[in-house]
Amino acid sequence: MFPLFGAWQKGYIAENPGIKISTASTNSGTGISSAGQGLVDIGTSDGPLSATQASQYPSVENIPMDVDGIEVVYNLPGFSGQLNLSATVLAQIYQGKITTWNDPAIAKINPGVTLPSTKIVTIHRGDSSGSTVTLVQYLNAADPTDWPESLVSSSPTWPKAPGALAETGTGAMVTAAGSTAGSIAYVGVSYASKIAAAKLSVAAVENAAGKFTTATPAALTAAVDSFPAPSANGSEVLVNTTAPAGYPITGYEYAVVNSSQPSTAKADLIQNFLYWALTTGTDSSYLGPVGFVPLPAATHAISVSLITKISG
Amino acid sequence: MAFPALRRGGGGGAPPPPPRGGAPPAPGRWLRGGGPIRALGLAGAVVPGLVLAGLLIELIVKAIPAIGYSGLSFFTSSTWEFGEQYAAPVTTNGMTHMQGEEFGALPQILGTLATSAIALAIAIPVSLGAALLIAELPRRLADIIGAFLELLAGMPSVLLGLWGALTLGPIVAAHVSPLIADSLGRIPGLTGVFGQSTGSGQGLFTSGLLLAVMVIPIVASTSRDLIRGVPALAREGAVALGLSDLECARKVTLPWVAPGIVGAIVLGLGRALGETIAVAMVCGVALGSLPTNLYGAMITIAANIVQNLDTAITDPMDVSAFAELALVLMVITLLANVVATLLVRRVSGTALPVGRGL
Amino acid sequence: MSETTSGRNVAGGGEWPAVHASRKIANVCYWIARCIALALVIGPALWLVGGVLAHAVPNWQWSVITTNTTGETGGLKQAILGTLVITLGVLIIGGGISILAGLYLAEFAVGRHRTILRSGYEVLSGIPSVVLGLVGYLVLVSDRGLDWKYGLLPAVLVVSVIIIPYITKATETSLLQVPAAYREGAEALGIPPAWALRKIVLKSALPGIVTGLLVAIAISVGETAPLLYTAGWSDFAPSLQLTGQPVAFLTYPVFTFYNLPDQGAKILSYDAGLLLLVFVLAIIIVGRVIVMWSRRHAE
Repeated sequence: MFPLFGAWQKGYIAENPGIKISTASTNSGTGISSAGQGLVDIGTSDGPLSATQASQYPSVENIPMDVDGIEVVYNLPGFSGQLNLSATVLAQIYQGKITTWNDPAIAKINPGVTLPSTKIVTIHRGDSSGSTVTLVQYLNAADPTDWPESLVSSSPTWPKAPGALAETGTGAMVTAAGSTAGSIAYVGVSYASKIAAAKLSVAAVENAAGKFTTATPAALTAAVDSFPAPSANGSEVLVNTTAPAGYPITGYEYAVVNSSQPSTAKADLIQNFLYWALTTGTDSSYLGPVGFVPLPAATHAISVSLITKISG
Repeated sequence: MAFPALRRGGGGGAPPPPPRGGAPPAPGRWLRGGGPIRALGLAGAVVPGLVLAGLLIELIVKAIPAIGYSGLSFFTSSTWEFGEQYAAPVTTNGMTHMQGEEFGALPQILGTLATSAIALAIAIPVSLGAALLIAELPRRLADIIGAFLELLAGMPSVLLGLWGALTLGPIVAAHVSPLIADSLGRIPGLTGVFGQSTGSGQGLFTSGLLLAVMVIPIVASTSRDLIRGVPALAREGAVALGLSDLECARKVTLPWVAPGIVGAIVLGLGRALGETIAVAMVCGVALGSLPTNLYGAMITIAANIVQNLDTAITDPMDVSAFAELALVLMVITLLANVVATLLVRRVSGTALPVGRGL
Repeated sequence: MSETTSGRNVAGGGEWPAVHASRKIANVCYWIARCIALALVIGPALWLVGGVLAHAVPNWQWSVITTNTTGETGGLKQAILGTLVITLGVLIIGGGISILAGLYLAEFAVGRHRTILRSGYEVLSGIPSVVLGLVGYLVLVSDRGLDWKYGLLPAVLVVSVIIIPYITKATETSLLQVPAAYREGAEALGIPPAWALRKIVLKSALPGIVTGLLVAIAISVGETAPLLYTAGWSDFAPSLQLTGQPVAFLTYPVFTFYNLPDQGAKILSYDAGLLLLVFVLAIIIVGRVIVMWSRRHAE
């Protein structure tokens, strides 16, 4: 979400000189707790508030802003071409049960290609991450045996895969994957240009219809359209879509805001920015470079109603 | 005197060794008078004590839930889990916490001790050797070298971490670790430690090396000052008796300054134990497991706090665990200081009586 | 006594026993070992400075000093200003408290009283800065504490606590070095203690105190861990608002941007490192100048 917010920052300030916006890149857990504690005005998160966070900060709401995809990237020198990965294979890789790239389970879903025998190095987020939540929700939804409910969390107990690395922040994930041969990691689609610059390849992931898709804007749109509208508080899980063209590791990007602000002036400022972000900010000039797609109409309406609730 | 021996980061609390030949005469004291300045001064002087007390109280109060929750497993278990933030909280023994929370700090405690041990093992011989040489160099050259030592001592640790992560780490992984693994790693019995996988440059060995680089200036500059303080008469006597340089160092210089050297080493140890940022950038942040050999990724208490406080503040029980970690780190540093003070006294007692009265 | 012709001892009919080869070899090894040690000591310093220069100088633009950071690009102006403001605050609050404390310990405190107060700040100096940062966060910033949020005052208070032991010790040491004759002479002349302290004793101890303050500046410029959780980060120059407004500081970009995939962010990280290096060098040079000046003017 950081690259998009940077672009929004520039665009909004250009249209509204006199407004100051400062951004920092942390993790989704901090985004939520900082917004709850009032340390920031707007927090962002790739995952919705959990039940506990909702009860800890009752006046905080998560407002869907756009739709994001989590890509599975890998660094496999000696292999060119698109790798297909399924939830089962991914789950077993992160469980440490599949340790080399030429494992029969991987070869089975990639017919006709020769895979090198490099060891797999799994990279996961060490901090509290919405990207992690979306990924593990997908793994659990598609393959509950290999990835049980207990491992669904923003900072789960990662199984001990050999040589596994933990990184703090999406940026560090990309850097680590780029410099470790044989590595596999998961990164939001907004980092696409950095992924390409780090010479990483993107995998095609299997959705509930049995098709392997990548996180193109069309695939993200197909995925989000296959789900009903979210509940009134904006939270919804969008993984493992049944749409054949849909990308299975999809989720909303949320703005996390405290609906009771200290002053009306502050509330107005935040509302104006969020309305702007939902309308002008979802223009293709902003979303295009980051690979997000705008919200479906029903979700958009719910977001607007959530923004209206912000008052001072 | 720009960067005095009392250096940042850790246990600078060891008192300097008693000077030879008796204490300097006490200066005049204003036993009465001074009015407002005296009162203000007293106020200022009690601030550290008050802050210390407040610190301890805050940490202990905040740590109690985690102490009750983990008990002794805090020191014996290697599993550290922040808990499932997305499930409902549960209650055990009257404490509400997230499911799956587990606080095993053994890797962090061992990591803190191991990195400091490696740092000292490398730093002590190197600093002493360098100090013995610097003390004999002509003044101009020694001053230039002294400037380098000051620069390194005053370097922000985040810069050293940057260098460690982007320059030292890759070189250690590509050249140094394979060398050690091929040589020391072949010794039977030590293969588990020195041999096998040489890692990615982010781990125990690199952290120890980086800490050594930070500790060396402290120990070297203090040792150099101490060695310079050895009276010329003692060294000239050694030369007159036909001792070689090495023998003079072993039999006259080093025993003379031994207590001071121990004090300097303790200062360095304090720095190593408390170092946070530089280690956080090169340790590999492996929270839930012990490194498998010398090059494996690991973590220290301080590095964990700085990297993961972001994640922990989402949950009060996690914060409590971090307060307990901070307490453990404080206890380790204070213990190191106490042991050091006792060592200094013991070494002073056994040091050569040569020179008293000179 | 023996004649020594060409080093041979004639009395007793023998020669001096030749110096054993083993001693000579050991001595040579000793020299070599020491030279290697010296190289190992100086090497990393040169390597580090060279590395920072090599990465930062080729990509240097003066706009780094004149523009603020926007996200992960831009300049470092607000970070430089933030560091300066935090350091100033630390000198005022921390420096003020420490000089007063050092004054009291050197001039007024005696015996057990003195030992207890001294051990207070000596133990404080041993506490790792990350612990102080954590407690600062819990007590000052967090909503379970004073709820001041990220800001200038929490940052200044925490760093002040870190540097108090250094300035106090420097003040105490330099005051103790002022000869007792000064104070006794002042008392003999009937000068009130406060006056004597201000005009006579402190003036003589000033170079040492200033050196201590320089150490404090170096520390507060270079600290990272405690500032991460008390100052936060901002893309804007610090206002003088004490709480609630996060402050940028120069060590943050080095720690946070160094492993980001964006090349611009990495360059910013090195630029910040270069600025830090320049600061530290400046402080060392000023320290040396002060020492030279005070030696020249000392009696």
